[in-house]
Amino acid sequence: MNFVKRGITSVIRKPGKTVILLLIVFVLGNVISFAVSIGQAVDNAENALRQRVGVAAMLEADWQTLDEVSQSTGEYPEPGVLTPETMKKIGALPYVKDFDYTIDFGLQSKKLKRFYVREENRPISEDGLEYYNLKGVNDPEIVDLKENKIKLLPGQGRTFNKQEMESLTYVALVSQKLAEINNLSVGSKFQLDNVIYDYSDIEARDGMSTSAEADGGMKVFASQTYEFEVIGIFEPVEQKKSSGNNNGMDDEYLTEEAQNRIYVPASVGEASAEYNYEQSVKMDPETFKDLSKEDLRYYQNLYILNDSRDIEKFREEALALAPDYYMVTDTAKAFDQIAAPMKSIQSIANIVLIGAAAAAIIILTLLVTLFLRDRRHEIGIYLSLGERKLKIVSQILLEVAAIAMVGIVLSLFSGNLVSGGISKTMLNNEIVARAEEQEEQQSGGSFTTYTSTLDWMGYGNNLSDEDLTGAYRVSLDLRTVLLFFAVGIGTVVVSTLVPIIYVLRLNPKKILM
Amino acid sequence: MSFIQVQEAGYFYQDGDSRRFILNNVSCEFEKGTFYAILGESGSGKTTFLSLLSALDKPRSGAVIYEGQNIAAIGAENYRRNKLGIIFQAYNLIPYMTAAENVRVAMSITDNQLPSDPAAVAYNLLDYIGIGKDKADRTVNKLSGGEQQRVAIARALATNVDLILADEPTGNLDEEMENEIIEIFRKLAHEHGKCVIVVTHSGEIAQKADTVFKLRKGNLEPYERLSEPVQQQ
Repeated sequence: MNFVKRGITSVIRKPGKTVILLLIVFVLGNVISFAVSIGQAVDNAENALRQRVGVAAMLEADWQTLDEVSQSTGEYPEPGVLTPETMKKIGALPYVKDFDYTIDFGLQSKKLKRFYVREENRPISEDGLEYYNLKGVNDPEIVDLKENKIKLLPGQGRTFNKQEMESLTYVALVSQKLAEINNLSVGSKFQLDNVIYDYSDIEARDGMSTSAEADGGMKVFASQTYEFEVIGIFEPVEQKKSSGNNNGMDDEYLTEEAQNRIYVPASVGEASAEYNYEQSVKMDPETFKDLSKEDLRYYQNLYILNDSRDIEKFREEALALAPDYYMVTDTAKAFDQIAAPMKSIQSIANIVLIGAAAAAIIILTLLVTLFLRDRRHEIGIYLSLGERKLKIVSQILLEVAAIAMVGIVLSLFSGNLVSGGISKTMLNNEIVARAEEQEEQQSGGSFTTYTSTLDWMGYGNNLSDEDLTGAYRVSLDLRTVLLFFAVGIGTVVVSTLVPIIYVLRLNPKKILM
Repeated sequence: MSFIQVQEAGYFYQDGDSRRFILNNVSCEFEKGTFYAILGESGSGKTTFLSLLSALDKPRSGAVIYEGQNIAAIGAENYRRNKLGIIFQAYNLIPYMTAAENVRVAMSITDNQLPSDPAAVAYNLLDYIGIGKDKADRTVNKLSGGEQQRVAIARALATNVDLILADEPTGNLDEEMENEIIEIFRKLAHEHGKCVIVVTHSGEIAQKADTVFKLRKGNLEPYERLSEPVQQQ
C-alpha cells in the first residue's frame, strides 16, 4: 500500500471529489486547449505563408532623410554609390537565402511587338517604336525564377550558362506572350536598338522636354543594334490583384511590365551602359565630364531572406555596410498587413490563455486546498505513522495529476474541435471588418496596394484572404499537443503548490490527539 | 539500560508572557514485556506525556531515551515509522480503506524488515485480534467501534515494533469490548514481550496493568492499587 496505491485507491473510492475535480479541469482545459490551438494554428499558418511568400528586401536611397537633411542644413547631401562589391558583401550576410544585383536598362525596337493587355493600351506612335526593360542578371539561375515569380516553360529552353555570363553574349529569356506575338521560339533571334538622342538639340530648340516619346522628330545622335538569341521562354506567375479602385490599371501595367521584361546576362547591360556613356560624353562633354561610366549603370539589388523574423538584424547589418543615406525596404510589413486578422485572433487567444491559466491556478488551488482540508485527518494519520512528507506530497500530486491528466486529454480533443469552428468564424469576421475598414479609407480617392519598388518588381504581398483562410487550420499536431500539456500540467503543478505548503505545516498531534 | 527512559521531561504552553506548565520535569522508565497504565484526570497532561513518548511533540526540557538513544537524535519521523505503534481513542483509521488496507498502510511506511507477503500478514494479524477475513475486507467505517479499535491495534503491531502506545484506547467502547482490548494489551506485553503504555482514566485498565503511574499537577507518581493486578486468564 505504498503512496502510489494509496493515491489510486483515494481517486477510485472517492468518486464525488474525483468527478468534481475532473469536470473543473475539463472545463478549464477546454478554454486552454481552445487558446493553445488557435495560437498554434496562427503560428503554423504564419510559417506556411511566410515560407510561401518569403521576404524580399532591397536597399534604396533614403530620399525622405536626404530632404530633411537638406532642409535643415541647406545643402543636399550625396547619398553615395552602392557598388557591386558592397551589394555582394550584403548578400553574404547569414540571413540572405538568395540575392542578385541586376543592371536594369532600356532598349527599343521598331520590329519587336510589345504585349499589351488591351489593344487600346498601345500608345500611338508615328515611328512605331516600342520600348523594353531589360534585366541584366548576375545570378545565372535568375532569382525571379528561384523565387517562383516566373516559370520556365517545360521544354522551352534554359537559363544562362557560365560562358554566357562571363563573356559578352547576346542571349535572352523572353515571356511566352512576347514570344507568341513575335513568333519567337528557343533559338530564334530578335534585334533591339540602343539609341542615343541628341537632347541638347531639343533643349536648345524649346527648352522643354527631353523625351523622345514626346517628340518623334528628335535627332538621333548615335545608335547600336544588338541581336539576341532566345534561349528560354518563361511565364510570369500571376500576382495578386491590387485592392485599389483605379479600375485595375495598376494590375494591367504590372502584367505588361512582367510580360515585356527580357532577362539577359549583366554583361549585356554593362556593355549597353558603356556605349551610352561613351556616346553621351561625345554628345555633351560639359555635362558628362565629372561622371564615370559606372555612374550610368543603374543596379537594382534584391535580397531574399531565409526567415522574415531576421529582417531587423538584416536591416541593421546591411545599413552598416551600405553608404550613408540608404534605407532597407522590405515586404515583411505587407505580410503583416494581410496577416493582421489572424494576428488579432492570436492576441485574443493569448489573452484567453493567460486568463484561463490564471483562473485555473486560482480555482484548482482553492479546490485542492479545500479537498485537503477534508483529508487533514488522513494526512495526520500518515504523519503519525512516520510517513515522509515528500511521499505524502507525492501522493497528493499523483492524485491531482492523474485526474487532471484525464481531464486534460479529454479537453485537448474537445477544445481543439471547438476552437476549429469558432476561430474560423472569428477569422472570417476579422477579414470582413478589415475589408470594410480599408474600403472606408479608400473611399476618398485612388488607392493601391502597390506602394514600393519591391511591389513593382513583383515581390510585394502576393497573398489573398483566401490564402489566409486556406492556410489557417486548427489541427492536433505534436507541437500543439506538447504545448497544451506543458501549459496544462504546469497549471496543475502550480495549483498544488499552496496545498503542499498546507500539508507541510500540518501537525499530527493537533489533528489526532 | 531501560527500554524507554524519560529524563526530567518538562512541557509548557506559552500564553503571551506567561507559561502554563503541563509536565514538571517528569522522569520514569519503561521496560519490555510490561503493560503500563498512566492514570490521570482530564487536563492532567496524560496526552501530552504520550505525545512526548510517541515523538508527536518534543519536550521543552529533558529528553526521551529509546534504548539508550535520544529520540531527537533518532529523528521524530524515523522513530514513529520504525520504533513504535500508536493507538488513538478515536481509532484514526483511513475511512475509505478496508481494515486490511489500513494495516498494510503502516506496513508500507515502515523501514523495518517484514515478511514478504504483506496481505497475508495483515489478514493474520487481524485474525489474531479477532477480525475475520470477511470483516478485514470491509471499509473500516462499516465496522463497529470495538472492531475499528482492533484494526488500529493490528496496525500498531503490523510494523513489528516493541513499543505500543495507546491514548484512551477504550474511551469509546462498552465494558465488554474494553475488557477484550485490555486482554489484547496484556497478551502483547506478556506473550510477545512488547512494552505497552496506555494513558487512560479507566480504573479497569489500571486494575489490570502491571505497573500504574498517576499524573497529578504535572508530576508523575507511582499509583498504589488496592489489589494486585488481575492475572491473565
